[in-house]
Amino acid sequence: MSSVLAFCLAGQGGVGRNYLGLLGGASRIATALGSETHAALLGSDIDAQGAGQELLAYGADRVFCVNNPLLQEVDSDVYVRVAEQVCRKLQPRLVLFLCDDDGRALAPRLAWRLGTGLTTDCTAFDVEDGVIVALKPVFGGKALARVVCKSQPGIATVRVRSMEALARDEARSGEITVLDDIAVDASWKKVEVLDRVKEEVKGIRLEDAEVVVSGGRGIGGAEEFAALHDLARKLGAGVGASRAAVDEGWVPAGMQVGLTGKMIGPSVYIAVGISGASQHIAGVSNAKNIIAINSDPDAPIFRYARLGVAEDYRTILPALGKALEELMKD
Amino acid sequence: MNIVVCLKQILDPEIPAQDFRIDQERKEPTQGNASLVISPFDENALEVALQMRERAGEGRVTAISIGSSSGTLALRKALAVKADQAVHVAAEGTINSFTAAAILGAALKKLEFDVVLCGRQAGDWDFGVVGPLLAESLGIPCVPFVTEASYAGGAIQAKRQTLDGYDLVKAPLPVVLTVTNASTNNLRYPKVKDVMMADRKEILAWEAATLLGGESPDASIEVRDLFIPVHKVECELIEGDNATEKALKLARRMRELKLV
Ligand SMILES: Cc1cc2nc3c(=O)[nH]c(=O)nc-3n(C[C@H](O)[C@H](O)[C@H](O)COP(=O)(O)OP(=O)(O)OC[C@H]3O[C@@H](n4cnc5c(N)ncnc54)[C@H](O)[C@@H]3O)c2cc1C
Ligand SMILES: Nc1ncnc2c1ncn2[C@@H]1O[C@H](COP(=O)(O)O)[C@@H](O)[C@H]1O
Repeated sequence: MSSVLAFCLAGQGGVGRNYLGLLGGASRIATALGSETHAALLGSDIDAQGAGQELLAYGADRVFCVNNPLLQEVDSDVYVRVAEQVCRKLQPRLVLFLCDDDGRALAPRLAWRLGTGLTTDCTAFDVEDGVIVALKPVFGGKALARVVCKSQPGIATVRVRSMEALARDEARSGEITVLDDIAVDASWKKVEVLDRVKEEVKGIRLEDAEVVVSGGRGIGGAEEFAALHDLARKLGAGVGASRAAVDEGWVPAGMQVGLTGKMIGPSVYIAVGISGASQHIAGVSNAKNIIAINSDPDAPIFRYARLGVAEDYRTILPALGKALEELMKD
Repeated sequence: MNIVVCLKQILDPEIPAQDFRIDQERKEPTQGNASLVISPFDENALEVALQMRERAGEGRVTAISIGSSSGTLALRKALAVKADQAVHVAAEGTINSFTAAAILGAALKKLEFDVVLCGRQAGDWDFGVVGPLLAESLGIPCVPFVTEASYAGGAIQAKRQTLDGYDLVKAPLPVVLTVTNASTNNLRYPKVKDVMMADRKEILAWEAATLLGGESPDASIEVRDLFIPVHKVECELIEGDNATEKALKLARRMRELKLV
């Protein structure tokens, strides 16, 4: 029976939350195709039974695990050869990766090796007369393309947070297979990591925050971001930024929200001094409510916002912080 | 050290969504008032190339661009910031990422290179595949999401952006790097005199068809249609006599709507 195969690149860690969404997406496509949902779990020191059961509970029909110490970090020079072997063995109809840094690095290389095509950063799939059509935002989200892969297997990377995980169901059962005939060779590794540097980010992690306050070029400087951190502290919010603020060197790149930054889905997103470029909005398309503070009443951001204030943020933020604090006391 | 940087010339990706139009037949956007620019991440890649050459105190930067025969603006700009050489590969018809990777791969066979730099993704179709495809087709490693790089002891050291910081990595030559934006790699401004000089420099003119030797690279994907999504949000603009009043009203509305 044909299959839709979702790659879960675990490295040393477990299976992250985003993979459950990927698996949910895979399972829906598989149902439409009348295929099985397969998950390939690659990494080192994986508890194949434990992690495998979890993937079954979230919709996989079968789980294939490649466990090897050389897969500790997701190095695409190594992983691509492993993924290629897995695909040749399982012969899936469609292969899915998450469109995160690892998936972006790996999927095109796998496509080249398998001599097939791929579509990146897809947000939905349709099955029409047995043909898989991927929906891909293009031109920074200003347009949508419907793309088909002319060769098999089709490969796609799936936008983070674009697909819902299935409800966890422990009654689901399936087979967990450890693939022990997949070769992994130390000589494949070409790139050496000399150092890992973490940049301290103040406050709550953007990805987890229910409320996010973000600043753009309109903030005017690194010190001025303090006003956003103040408001964020009062609201228990995370702080994000636009690409322009990152490029100016005001905030670390880890704070960039958008198409090529973080994809987030807070319930409230407060955009301050951000014009509302489509590439920025792409990162908050799952935000439930956008609030815009921008001195230009014609800024595109107001087209996406539920509430808006056309004012200089420097006069709005302090007063807003104070007023919210008062109101939240009651 | 020979550095090749791949520059795609595209319609300005910053035009507001409300001005964006497409031609359904061609499945391409219409130009309208949009100007042509170097795709933003390719500007970052060009800056990284120039910095690598500066740090090494030697080396040659070659800029290459594939497109319609009139599309040399990106290359002129590259020459103006002192790229040593520019190559234009003329190609007819739609050049998607897969065709571009095949043509670049063929062009690289004619150029000497130690490092190939690409943008992480082109600012039009947002595919983000050419760098890794090139690496795979050339059989060399690829380091993605690089913000800075230098050449040291026959290898490349690069900063690779991660979710919460960066990795310092070392890669052997030859290698493909894909570049992402950082405050350290905004493209420098050219001097006026260099812009004028650049206009007189030669741009090598190659043909995609010749490079590919008659083979047509099968893209394996097909864009069935292209359309503009509708989105509708009614914005409630908070009015007031002064900023304090507006802030207060906003706070109240946020509370009423249970947003905080
Ligand atoms: C391929 C590609 C990927 C991209 N990826 C991303 C991404 O991931 N994330 C991202 O953010 N961008 C991304 N961009 C860039 C994006 O197109 C915009 O350039 C960027 O989002 C603009 O940032 P900004 O809104 O802060 O700056 P600007 O567009 O310069 O807007 C600044 C705003 O601040 C307002 N302002 C000025 N002063 C004040 C004041 N005192 N008070 C209130 N408002 C004020 C102005 O009215 C203006 O609207 C990408 C672009 C491309 C081509
Ligand atoms: N037509 C082209 N000419 C030169 N370089 C290109 C072209 N198309 C893509 N590239 C390079 O490949 C990168 C990624 O493109 P893509 O995979 O199409 O998103 C771009 O940022 C460029 O560096």
